[in-house]
Amino acid sequence: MNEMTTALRLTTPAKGGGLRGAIAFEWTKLWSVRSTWWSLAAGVLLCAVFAAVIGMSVEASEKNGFDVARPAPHLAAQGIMLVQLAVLVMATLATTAEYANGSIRATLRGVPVRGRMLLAKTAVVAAVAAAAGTVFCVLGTLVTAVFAGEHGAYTAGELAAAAFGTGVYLALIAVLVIGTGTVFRSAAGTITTIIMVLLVLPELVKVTGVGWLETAGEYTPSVAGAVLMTRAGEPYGGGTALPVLLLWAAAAVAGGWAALRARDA
Amino acid sequence: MIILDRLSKRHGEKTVVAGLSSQIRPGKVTGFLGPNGAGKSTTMRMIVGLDAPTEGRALINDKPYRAFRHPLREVGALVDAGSGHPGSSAYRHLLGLARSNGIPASRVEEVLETAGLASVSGKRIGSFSLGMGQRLGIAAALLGDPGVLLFDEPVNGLDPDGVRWVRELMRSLAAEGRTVLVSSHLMSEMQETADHLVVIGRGRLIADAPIGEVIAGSSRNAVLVRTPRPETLERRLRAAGMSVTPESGALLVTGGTPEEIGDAAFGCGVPVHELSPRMASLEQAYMELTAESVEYGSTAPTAANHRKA
Repeated sequence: MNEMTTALRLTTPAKGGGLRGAIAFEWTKLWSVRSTWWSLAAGVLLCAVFAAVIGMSVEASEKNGFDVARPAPHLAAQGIMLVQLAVLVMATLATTAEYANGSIRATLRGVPVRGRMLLAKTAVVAAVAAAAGTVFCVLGTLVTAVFAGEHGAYTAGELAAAAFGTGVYLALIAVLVIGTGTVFRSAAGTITTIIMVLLVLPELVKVTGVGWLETAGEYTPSVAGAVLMTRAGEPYGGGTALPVLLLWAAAAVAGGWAALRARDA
Repeated sequence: MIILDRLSKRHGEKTVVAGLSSQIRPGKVTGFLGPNGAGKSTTMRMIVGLDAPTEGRALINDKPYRAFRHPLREVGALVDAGSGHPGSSAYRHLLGLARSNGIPASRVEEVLETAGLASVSGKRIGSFSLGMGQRLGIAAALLGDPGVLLFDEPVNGLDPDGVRWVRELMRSLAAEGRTVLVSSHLMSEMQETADHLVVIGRGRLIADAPIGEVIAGSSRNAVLVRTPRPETLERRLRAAGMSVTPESGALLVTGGTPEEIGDAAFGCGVPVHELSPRMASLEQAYMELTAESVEYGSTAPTAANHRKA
């Protein structure tokens, strides 16, 4: 009996905790689950595959006389529009799986200040998303350049700008996903909503022919993201695209925080 | 110490906990009893800030749970056995919790060892049996060496060795001066483990007393009397206001102490061959206290019911 009790003593003084502890917690949790690893690996693989396909398509189109030559980073960005799903899945599961398997209760016992928990989770996932975005952009550019040859010529400056823009875009939509996931608490509802907002809605409003709807559709996150990744200048410049994305992300976080504070775990 | 101050929880129309007030003191094991649906789990969740009370408050050492900078070093809890992500290993689950509160990683191995999970620390939580999951939850509660511990049905799924381990663990934790609150349906275990009882029914406090008092309050406390002249004694005892039930050749008497019964027998010249007090069990005392409050009861088959059917 005595062995049992002395073994239970924790003698180191209390330290850590707070936001740093919450961030360490979220970081540990994120990399403890296989879904994080395979969704990012799938993203890398798909990125390479799409980039190759895009490169080959440009090469073939140019041979047929179409002028589709663009800097390779901007060509690869088209593929990233689909590859972003890998990051979205990772961000969704990082949020909703805790509700599905009940581990949110352990999380909130470790970090009972709910705003702090949400901030830590958002910071960790956004950082990983930003790194993933940068990797996707560089990898996609290199692969596309191989297949597109001189039709995909680019400068280091263009690559740097595109990599930065892609990192920022994926970080901000990761934030959007976490906020949404905290409100819905289910992976299915979150992913469906995000796919609707990012991929379906912008295309849908284009075919309606209704003026204000089409304009509104330009301010969806994926359109703003495309601007950041390619510096296309239309329908608006990076100076508008960034605030648009920030607003979307902020709205999702605000909604998530309100839901988190109001509801029982 | 845990203070419950007029704690209430309502879900729309339904009141789950109603004005619960109690002080759960350190140095003893407090058993938290009540029928299913009485509000025990909800109360424990309110203590650790998972559910927000509709009214009232739950305080640990005079502070709400979220006010602690290192909550896991103050309060350890096994509530709602949702241990961790099924894809995570036991070790990494506890490591994350440890890091959240600045607890060193070496501590994780210590508690896994104490909980008997050292050999499976690298296994995925999803592959754990119910008993292993419970042990993991107990390990998580012990992680921060907290002064206050809450256990919601800790022996669920444990084998007899595990049940004994939990009992000894609770007693040693209380002996060290910690506050220990345990809810359980296993009456025989509770009788061995608890020093003090808080009994609730339909969200309301029914009893808050040392275990001896709760059992003594049961009407099933009786005295068994064996005598060659039961009819005479029975008449004398009934005249004195006690109730007498014949039982397998002896008399079971309630409403009188062994001294009174012995004196009554002497007074009417009846020899007494056995005079022994029969204590009610905790289960009997508990059933009497909560008979009115059973939320999800079943009817036991009786002769009358059979005839109807």
